[in-house]
Amino acid sequence: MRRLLPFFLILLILLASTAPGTIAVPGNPVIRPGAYFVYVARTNESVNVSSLVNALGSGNLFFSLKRNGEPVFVSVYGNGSVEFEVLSVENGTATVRLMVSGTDALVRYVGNITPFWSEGEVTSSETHGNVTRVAVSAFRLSSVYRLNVLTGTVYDLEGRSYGRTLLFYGRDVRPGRALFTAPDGLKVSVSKVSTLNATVVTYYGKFLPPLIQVVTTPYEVSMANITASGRSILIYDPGSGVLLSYFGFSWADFRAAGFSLFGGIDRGGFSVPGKDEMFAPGLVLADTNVLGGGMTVKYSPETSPLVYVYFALLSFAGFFVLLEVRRWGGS
Amino acid sequence: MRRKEIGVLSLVLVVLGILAAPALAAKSTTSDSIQGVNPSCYIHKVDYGQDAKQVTKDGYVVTLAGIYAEVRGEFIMPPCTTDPHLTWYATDAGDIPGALFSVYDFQVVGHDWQGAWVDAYGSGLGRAWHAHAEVSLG
Repeated sequence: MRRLLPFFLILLILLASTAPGTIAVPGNPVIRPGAYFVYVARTNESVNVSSLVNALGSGNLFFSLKRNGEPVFVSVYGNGSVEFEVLSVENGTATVRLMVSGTDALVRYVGNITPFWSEGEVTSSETHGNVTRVAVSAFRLSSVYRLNVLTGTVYDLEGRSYGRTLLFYGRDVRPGRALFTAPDGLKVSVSKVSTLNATVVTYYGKFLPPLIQVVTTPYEVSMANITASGRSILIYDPGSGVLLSYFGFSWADFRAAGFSLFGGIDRGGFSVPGKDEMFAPGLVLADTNVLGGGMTVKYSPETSPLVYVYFALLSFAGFFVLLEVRRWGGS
Repeated sequence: MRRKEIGVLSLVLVVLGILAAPALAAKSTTSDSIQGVNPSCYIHKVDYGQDAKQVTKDGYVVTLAGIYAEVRGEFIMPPCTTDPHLTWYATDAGDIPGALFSVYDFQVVGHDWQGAWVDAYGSGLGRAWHAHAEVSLG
């Protein structure tokens, strides 16, 4: 047994030297089966349903997708909602369902597509040339993609990589870090990570400073007649790493789920709540089950399963050290 | 002598005037044809939207920060073309410290929207910003 002691000591030294990497940072704790995150873009104006089919502008929530191979663009002029739900986590890969819903929306598409709305929700429609506009009172769409919880990389169901998720903050998010790319030359990176010294108001609750703000490099995304260009901002709660607001028009998660353009603007963001306080811009956190109520999981050496192995080895080595000390004392 | 020269010069001028008359008439006709182009052939429209933080100082409005959206559209219609279309450009800008993005849309005349619009959004100085501009034939 005495011969084994040096090996235990070496193992302990190795564990101690690599502890921050092996024990404290195995992915993100908020991505676990059943976890969900709901973000909304609500309106504070009444929508004129009779003229909805001729509405102009991006709306409070906007996105594009391909359906039956044809481009489709949707603008939500009522309330929009986006829900991420972690369906399962297997071998470090999460299956995430992205559900989009909205009220008073205008759908524009080319050719013939399979509707994702029910006929009973159609308030009016018009066709000019090869473009059809359909006004719907409500709709719901869902899509599934995969997320590597260790690296944050997102994939579509066919395994194509799209970039880093927006769902949680990590230490890898540093200026210059690539966020997402596309074969057409799209390349988006982190431009700036800064501390936001303001209380951010969301529909979920208030988040006190300091918070983390991530700004991207400028980029442009186009589909059919729609083009969006500019920068994006993400605001995170540093304690949990949870995304509080997304102010942008495209991201890897949405692209992996089939939406090349995706953005939302909650109208509450245009208000000024008070001094040193701001309403979260863009898509705003409205609900989640990973914060508060005993659901918070802070990843630290105390909560990692590896810590039990660590303490067992430490106790084992301590026991042998004590034995040796007793022998030396007795001799 | 002088009277004779004046007479010859007058005769030359009269002859030149008679010879030049058709040319002058043709020029005038050409000018008429330009003015006769259907004014709806080219329709220029501009719109500008702004969301700004402004104060009044010494009677002047001073813009401290904000964003703007601008669309310029030119609709080219028959009979100037057999392919009616819209040429346009949209710009946005701002001087708020956060991020900015714009969403543009333009549509071809006779196919869908007869116009173009741009929504410009910004985030900074503790709030979100929005400016919208649109041009259309409708």
